[in-house]
Amino acid sequence: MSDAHLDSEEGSLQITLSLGSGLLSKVDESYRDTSQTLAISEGITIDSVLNRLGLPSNMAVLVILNDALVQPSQFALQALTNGDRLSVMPPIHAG
Amino acid sequence: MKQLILDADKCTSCLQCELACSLEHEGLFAPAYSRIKVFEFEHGKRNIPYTCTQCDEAWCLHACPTNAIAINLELGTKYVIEDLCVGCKVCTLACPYGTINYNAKSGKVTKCNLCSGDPKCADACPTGAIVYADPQELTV
Amino acid sequence: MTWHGKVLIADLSANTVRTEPLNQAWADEYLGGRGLATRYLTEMMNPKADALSPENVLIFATGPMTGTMASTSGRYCVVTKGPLTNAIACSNSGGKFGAELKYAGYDLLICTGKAVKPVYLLIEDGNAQLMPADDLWGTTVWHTEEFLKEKHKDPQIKVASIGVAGEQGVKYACVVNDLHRAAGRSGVGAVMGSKHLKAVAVRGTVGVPCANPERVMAVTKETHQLLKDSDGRRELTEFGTNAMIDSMHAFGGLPTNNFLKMTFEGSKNINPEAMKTPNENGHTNLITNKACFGCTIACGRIAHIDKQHWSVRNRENYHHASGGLEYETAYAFGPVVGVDDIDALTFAGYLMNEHGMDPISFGVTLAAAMELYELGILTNEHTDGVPLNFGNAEALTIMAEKTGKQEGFGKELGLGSKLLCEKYGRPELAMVVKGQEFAGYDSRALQGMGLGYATSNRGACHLKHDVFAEDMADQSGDGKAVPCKNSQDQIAMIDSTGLCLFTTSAWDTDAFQRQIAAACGDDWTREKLLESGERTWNLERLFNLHAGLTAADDTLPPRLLETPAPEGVAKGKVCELDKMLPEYYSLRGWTDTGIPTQETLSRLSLNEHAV
Ligand code: SF4
Repeated sequence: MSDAHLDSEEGSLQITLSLGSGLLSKVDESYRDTSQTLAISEGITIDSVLNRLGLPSNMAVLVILNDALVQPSQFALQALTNGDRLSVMPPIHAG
Repeated sequence: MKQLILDADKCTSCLQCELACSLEHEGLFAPAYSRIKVFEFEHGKRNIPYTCTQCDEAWCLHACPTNAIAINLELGTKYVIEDLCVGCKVCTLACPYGTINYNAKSGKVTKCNLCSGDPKCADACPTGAIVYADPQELTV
Repeated sequence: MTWHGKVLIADLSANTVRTEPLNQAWADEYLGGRGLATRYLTEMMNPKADALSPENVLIFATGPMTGTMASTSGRYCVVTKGPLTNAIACSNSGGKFGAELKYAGYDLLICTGKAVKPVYLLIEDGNAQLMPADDLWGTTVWHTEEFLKEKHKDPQIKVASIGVAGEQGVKYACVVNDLHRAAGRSGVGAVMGSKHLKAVAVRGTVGVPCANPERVMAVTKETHQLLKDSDGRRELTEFGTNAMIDSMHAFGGLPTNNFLKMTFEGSKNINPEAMKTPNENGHTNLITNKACFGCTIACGRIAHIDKQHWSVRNRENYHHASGGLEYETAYAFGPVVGVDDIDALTFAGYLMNEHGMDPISFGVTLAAAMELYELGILTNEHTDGVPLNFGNAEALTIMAEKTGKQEGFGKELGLGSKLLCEKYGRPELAMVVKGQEFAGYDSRALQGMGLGYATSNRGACHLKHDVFAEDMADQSGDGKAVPCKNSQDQIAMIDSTGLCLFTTSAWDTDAFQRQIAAACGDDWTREKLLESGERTWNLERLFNLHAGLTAADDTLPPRLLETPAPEGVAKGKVCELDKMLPEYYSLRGWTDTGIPTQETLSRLSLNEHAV
């Protein structure tokens, strides 16, 4: 992903993004941090953020937005707003 | 010539290689009889798979009084001719690496013969710690 | 058939060992491992007997798949009556000991009675003998293993042993094999100690026969491939089980400060990323990953402690590598006690392995003591002058060592949360079910987990059911009873094979069935396997009922049932056990007081075990 492309997706709003350690090797290099601030533009959905991170589209992830669990069916519908806290985590299974 | 290339950094000490070896050569799951051995050091920090290197100058072969160890020129292996082996163990003393061993069940010695060109350990290894290849053809 | 058909019985009271044929009829009903051992246990002891009395029976059980080339074939179970719970105990371990026991030619090792003086059991193929262990008594697990290999001049000997914790009856002492794998839970190590059995040392060269190698290998190849291709497996290999800690923190189900909180900011300091990031001294915690016997996953972590860290600065004997953090140890030395110092956590893990204790129960007991301390009920006078505040990393390592050596306040911590909290008049602060401490999931956020905890036959445990998918999908108690019951039966079956639960990231019941059928015969259909699992579950339940447990024991502490979740996705919720439990009993074919009905007993051929 080129920087220019990145810039075109950035916007004036900011969200806090937490990533699980298990996903760091799967996202694009520029996002390899467990906690970061992300500039987005109004109306961006969870789907497009996942896309921007470079996660494979069929990958199962656990998404939590401001302490609420988001079901995968909502990823394409749920828009983000300024100050949102978004967590993208590996799915949970026996451990 | 192809050989077993062993990479200790990749080995997890799962012993799939020993299982595959014992099944191939003894017909049962018994790592005690495996021709390849994995050694563990410091609580599992280092795990080192180890087997016969098929030395060019094979001391086991020279030591054998009954000529029971022969060379397969095509594979480069030194292999034991069971019918000729009398179980005197001189070869096990001659080998500097301890990779030819006496088998009390058969009364003969056993060593790696690369499964006659299709080594089962390499096939079983899940981590790529054992690869059967020609080192000269491997691009590093 | 991959059974040997042989059981080794060590009568410790009589100081004799003998071999008996395996009861094949039972093997046909219970498969092996957990199920078969449970059947032997019910036959050989009175469930009412005291867990630490000579009447208790201690069984080491392999499964029909143990020692084969199936992936994860290194498992064995320790089945006995647990002193922590006064219920059936069934602790599963990996490493290499289980396969070695099988290679010596035995399916099960059964230890009865109590030796007059400390002994260890030496097994070399068909030869088994009890040997004096006076010079080992009072020493650590690590010393014992090294000593026995040295003494018998065989580095290939595999050892399962106990430390001082097991000798002195710490309620959650475990049996440790291969230095850092453990049959961890319910105090099975204390049972071993009560029998004066310090160690079992085994060397096996008999192997495991394979009647149909072509078929076995074909299935093995196919199931290896399934694992290789699975995302869940890849995650376990790459990050270990601790990948879970970030998810549970974000989700708000990570028990923190004795379950007062459900998220832990410090988790970023002890997560898999922290494990592989160099610290200011350039020291990296994680060294490599390591497999148990036969395992193509290799989720185990090998780590080391920074030599300059305060905990080990002058203690060179802890500078070597050993077992590193997994999710449950990270939880038990981390969030639940509020500590986020990765070296302190790793050191606490070393101490657990060296002295033979269950990290989960130790951590949660310490968490209860910390809450009592913060409430002013415990003071420095009780705690040998160590301030037991949440978050005190030094308190963690000092108390881990004191408990392992049974010194000072460590003696009280060795009681477990339940007895400790009862002693100080606050029983409700013990985060336990049936006396056993919770694993790292809060059942207000994971409702199905709550039902599993409450109904697990060995007390609170996260490994006897798998309702994660349903618990992620919704945070109510609705629809949790069915997956809870079904997964309990499936896992009872898996624990009876000799294979590891973590393969379920790639294998469904049919994948297990194909492997078992190839190894043990085609009569092992999917139906028969699941029925066998259900039978095992019910027989465990019947053991507990005979031991005196009742439906009243299928419950959770008030903190989870009455105090609404303070944060996270389930904020405001309590565990809806009251809703799930009746549904669960009826699904199981039990009365509303949790007793298997006549019909259920007949269906599972369990009539002779009726209460
Ligand atoms: S199969 Fe490979 S990873 Fe496993 S022990 Fe052998 S060499 Fe090591």
